[in-house]
Amino acid sequence: MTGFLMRRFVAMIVLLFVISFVTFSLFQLGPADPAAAACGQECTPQRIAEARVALGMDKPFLTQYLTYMSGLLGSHMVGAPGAETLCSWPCLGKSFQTNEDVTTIIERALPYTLSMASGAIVLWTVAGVGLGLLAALRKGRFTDKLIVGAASVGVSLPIPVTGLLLLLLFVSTLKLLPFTTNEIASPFGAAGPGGWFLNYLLPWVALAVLFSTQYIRVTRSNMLETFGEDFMRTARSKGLSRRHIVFKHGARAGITPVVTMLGLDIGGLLGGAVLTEQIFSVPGVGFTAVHAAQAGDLPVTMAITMMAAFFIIVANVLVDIVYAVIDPRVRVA
Amino acid sequence: MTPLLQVTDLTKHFPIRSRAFRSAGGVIKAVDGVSFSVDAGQTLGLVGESGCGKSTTGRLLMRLLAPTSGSIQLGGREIAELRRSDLQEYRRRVQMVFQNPSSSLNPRQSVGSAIAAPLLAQRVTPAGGVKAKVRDLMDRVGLRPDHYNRFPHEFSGGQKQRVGIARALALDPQLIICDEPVSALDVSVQAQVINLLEDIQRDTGVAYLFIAHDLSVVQHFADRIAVMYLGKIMEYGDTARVFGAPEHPYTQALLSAVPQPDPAADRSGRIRLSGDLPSPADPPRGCVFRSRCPVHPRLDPQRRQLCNDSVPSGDIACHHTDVAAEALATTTR
Amino acid sequence: MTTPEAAPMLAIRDLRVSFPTDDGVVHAVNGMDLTLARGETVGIVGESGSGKTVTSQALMGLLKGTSATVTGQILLDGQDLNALTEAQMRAHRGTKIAMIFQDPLSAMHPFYPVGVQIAEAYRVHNDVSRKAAAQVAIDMLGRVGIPDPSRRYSAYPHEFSGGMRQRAMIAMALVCEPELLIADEPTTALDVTVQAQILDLLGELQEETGASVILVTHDLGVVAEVCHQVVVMYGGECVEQATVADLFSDPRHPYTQGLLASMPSLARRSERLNPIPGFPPSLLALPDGCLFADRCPKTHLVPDNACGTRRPTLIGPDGHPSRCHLEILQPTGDVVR
Repeated sequence: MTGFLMRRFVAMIVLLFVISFVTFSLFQLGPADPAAAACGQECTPQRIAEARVALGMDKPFLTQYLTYMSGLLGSHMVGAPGAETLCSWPCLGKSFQTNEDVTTIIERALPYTLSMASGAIVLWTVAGVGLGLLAALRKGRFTDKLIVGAASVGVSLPIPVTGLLLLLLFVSTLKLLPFTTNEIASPFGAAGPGGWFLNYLLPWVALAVLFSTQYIRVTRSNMLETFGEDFMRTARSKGLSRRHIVFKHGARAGITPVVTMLGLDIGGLLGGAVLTEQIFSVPGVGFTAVHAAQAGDLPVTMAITMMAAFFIIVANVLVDIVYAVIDPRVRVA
Repeated sequence: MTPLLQVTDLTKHFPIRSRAFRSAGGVIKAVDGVSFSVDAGQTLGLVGESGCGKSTTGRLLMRLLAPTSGSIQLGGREIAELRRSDLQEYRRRVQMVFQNPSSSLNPRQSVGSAIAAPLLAQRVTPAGGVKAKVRDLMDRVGLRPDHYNRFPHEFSGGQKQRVGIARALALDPQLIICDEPVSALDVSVQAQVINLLEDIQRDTGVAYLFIAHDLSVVQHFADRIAVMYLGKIMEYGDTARVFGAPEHPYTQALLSAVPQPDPAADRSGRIRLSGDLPSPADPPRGCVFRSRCPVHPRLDPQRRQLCNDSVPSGDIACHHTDVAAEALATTTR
Repeated sequence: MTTPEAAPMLAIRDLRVSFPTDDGVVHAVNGMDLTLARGETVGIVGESGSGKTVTSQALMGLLKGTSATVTGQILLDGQDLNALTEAQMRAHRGTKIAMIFQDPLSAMHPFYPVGVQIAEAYRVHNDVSRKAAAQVAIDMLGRVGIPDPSRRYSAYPHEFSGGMRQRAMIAMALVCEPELLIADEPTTALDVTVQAQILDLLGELQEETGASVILVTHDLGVVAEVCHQVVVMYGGECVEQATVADLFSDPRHPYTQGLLASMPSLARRSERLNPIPGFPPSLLALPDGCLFADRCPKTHLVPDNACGTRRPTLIGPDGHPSRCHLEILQPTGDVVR
């Protein structure tokens, strides 16, 4: 098991470097010229050249990459010669728009994204796995058909539709819930856990409607497959109760594929739920990335892209580890 | 007269890959210095328990795997070193029938075109004659002409195996490698297929390499027999001799373990092997069978040392056949 | 009616099982009769589709709560298992009747250690601590011949060899000392030398515990080795029941005769095998007559085309009945061969 963890960890570090290099290359070698973006609307060729020097773009590509990555090791000075400013550790460059450290911007946006993701994840996992399990247990009956039917409707509703419908119904018409506000970033703020809960309830529901449908389908089909396994028949021949068979023998084996999905979805969501954040005006990571991209703010866009990739890779490794804990057969491989 | 197929010192080692990037250095000796020959129109039975290397040997002969070392000669021509482009001609002369007729037939291909496939691939029959040839083959294996356009799922296991045999016969091969051709079939159907294979041999003079774990089938079918254990041949000789007076302790134990469909049979002379097959990655030194050999513990220390030190060779790969015969006589008494 | 002391431990009376499918109703078992005395081993022999596995599932009550229709009686110690509810049946599973399966790797839960699965089987029916159950499981592993049982207790199924897995499976089935053990092709997936070990072990344990065993198999050799009684199944029917000695020396049903003739045997090397022509009947649409009629070489011996029009019943000499019209023609038991 220790060897397994070590191997996965080393592979993860290697992969993270590969991803950072690829992302950096895409942004530096892509069609957009960072220097032109950095110097703003009225640019003379001379000012662009100055901007290139200020951004370090006059140096060889590999040097640029190494300089960028060295920001992860300690703070350093960035900017045009003579006008350098300190970019404190961990440094991912400075925003073209505000000249803030990129990390500061991300630090500000991340609590919103975490707030939105955490509740949504809990909601969709409980609803998706629970309903999927229920549908599998009632296979072919009315309950099963109802759940499967609802899931196929849910999966075809895009976030803008559910989001706007929810806002229309609960905020505008029924006035049961407040408009989401960017003043509540976490449950530890002035609004308290209650205010935080009400503020994020609608985005949670919107995300859960979309995500839980997949969890229903995957849970249901995996549980049905597991019910047909020989070891389930063995469990029954031992005289175990139905509850014990379903939960202790069936669910343990049937839910494992859901763990993979969950890990990857969590990783993906932490990189920002772009549409949901837009619709509910939550200034999270996805929201920030979109606005940075529109404004041509390359350092911010690149940093968020890398961070999203980072979350997905880490989630992947966590999934592998959880898998090894659940399934002893994986440990030897 | 040179035999049709002469296999000398055939060896296949698979490297053990346990870590992602490096090999652990060990090998699995799936086939380790195997020699035998098959005469034209004759049948060699290759028997042994799972993991003994009999199927790997079949694949090596088909050149589905490349041997690590050793020689395979068909009609005096060396084929172990043939390159892929030269294999086409070889495969016309050596064909294979597989264990599971369901998975070795393409479910979306009609049986007529399955049988025609080798004819078209090798372009041996003029285009207009393919259909007539296929009908002739189907007739030979006992399929009706109206089966031509049917699909595998419409056939029973025995009929599917007939399709497999017709396909193997299409190119008029000199040797057919039958890998457990009847072990997936029910007893009454198994007898039909065995009789069919015998009829074909009588009519066409094809030679068989018959790989099987069922000793009674092999005894019925084979002229000569090779008993394998952990990648090596333990005993090799005429079927009547090997079954009538087995000399190797492993052959003795194997034959003694076969359940006799005769309640009145004398069961007093049973030899029971204890324990399990050793790992093929770490077989015993010297004689590979010594860890389970019923004779080994009875030897005096000096003779026992011989088993540990030296690998027995020859048609009966045992250092102490004299003791084995004696031991067999005492247990039978 | 039979007197109580003569009552067999297990009696199956006209068991029938059918399943609805998309293609129609599959009649998997169409009249299965069997009697089994305490401490005896009966073999149920048949080819694929003969209904032998479905019969064993019906005995375990595993078809309860499925779409299958099960009729007839399964009398265990005089109690009809087929009439029990799932909850009542659950109390019997493991304690009175237990089962081992063909493929022990897939029959054990891949995520739990072998010992834990055995201990679990014990704790369902015995109110003991986890620790006490673990000790029972370790003792049981030792009894089925697994070396170093306390260490192997925490090993996972995939870490066992095929033979060891089947030993563990037997330990799991016998841990609550059931009266009846159903073994469904217990050695089919094993090599012949390991099969011999497992059959020996089953015999030893049976002698120790006095349990009755139903051995479901396609291998007449295995039956001859370990069984006292045999039931031959064909097309979901019991076509012949006899003692092992009688079945092999005097097979009465033409199907049994054909089966024995089609087997290659180590003892006698025949020049040519005698296969049974044709294929088993479709279980979707059973003929009115004898299910074996279209493959039977003896239908011409029965007058009035009875084989093609009337289903024979299980009749014949006491202790060796067969489902063949020839039994009526030759009531003395001297069937034309």
